[in-house]
Amino acid sequence: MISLFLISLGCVMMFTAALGVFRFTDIYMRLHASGKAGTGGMIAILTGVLLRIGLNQISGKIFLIMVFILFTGPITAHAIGRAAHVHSGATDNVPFHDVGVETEEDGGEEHVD
Amino acid sequence: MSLYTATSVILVFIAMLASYRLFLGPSIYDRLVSLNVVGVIITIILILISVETDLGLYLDIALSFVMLDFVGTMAMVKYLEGGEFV
Repeated sequence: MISLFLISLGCVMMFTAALGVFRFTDIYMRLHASGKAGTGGMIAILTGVLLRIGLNQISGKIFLIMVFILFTGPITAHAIGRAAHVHSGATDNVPFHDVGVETEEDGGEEHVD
Repeated sequence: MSLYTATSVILVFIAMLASYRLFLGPSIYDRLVSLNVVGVIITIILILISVETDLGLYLDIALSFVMLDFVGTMAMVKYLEGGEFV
């Protein structure tokens, strides 16, 4: 009963992630939808499957895959967001909340964002 | 139709909805985000097939798929960012 509830909850969360990727208007919003709801839906579905099949050789590998996706999902989301932000014009040494750079040719200050 | 088969069919339709941005996204980063979601859904479908048919072979395929997905995404991000490979 708990496993059925967890699998249904995971399907709803995964549908929310897909709907966010389909419908949102900005790259950061799409990253927000896929980074949290996708990983959470995966955790819910696989926890339901683990509760249903018990403790044997298959469930150990499923737990290993779950931990791996739990570690590498936020790393991937952070890397894609950083690459999109760098591609939009900011440089690497400047903090992200202050992207005004000072050019040396004309001595002026221009904002690149 | 068992529970795992029904969940797999639902997840296939969710992956079709999410792969809209994969085919005609405005930028390359939208395609990467959509590919991330589709990769996670494909991994879950492989695990459900393995539990349904009671074959441990699909779990090895799923683990290899997850690792190659992560390494491929990080390599593509490093290439797009313009940095050097370590």
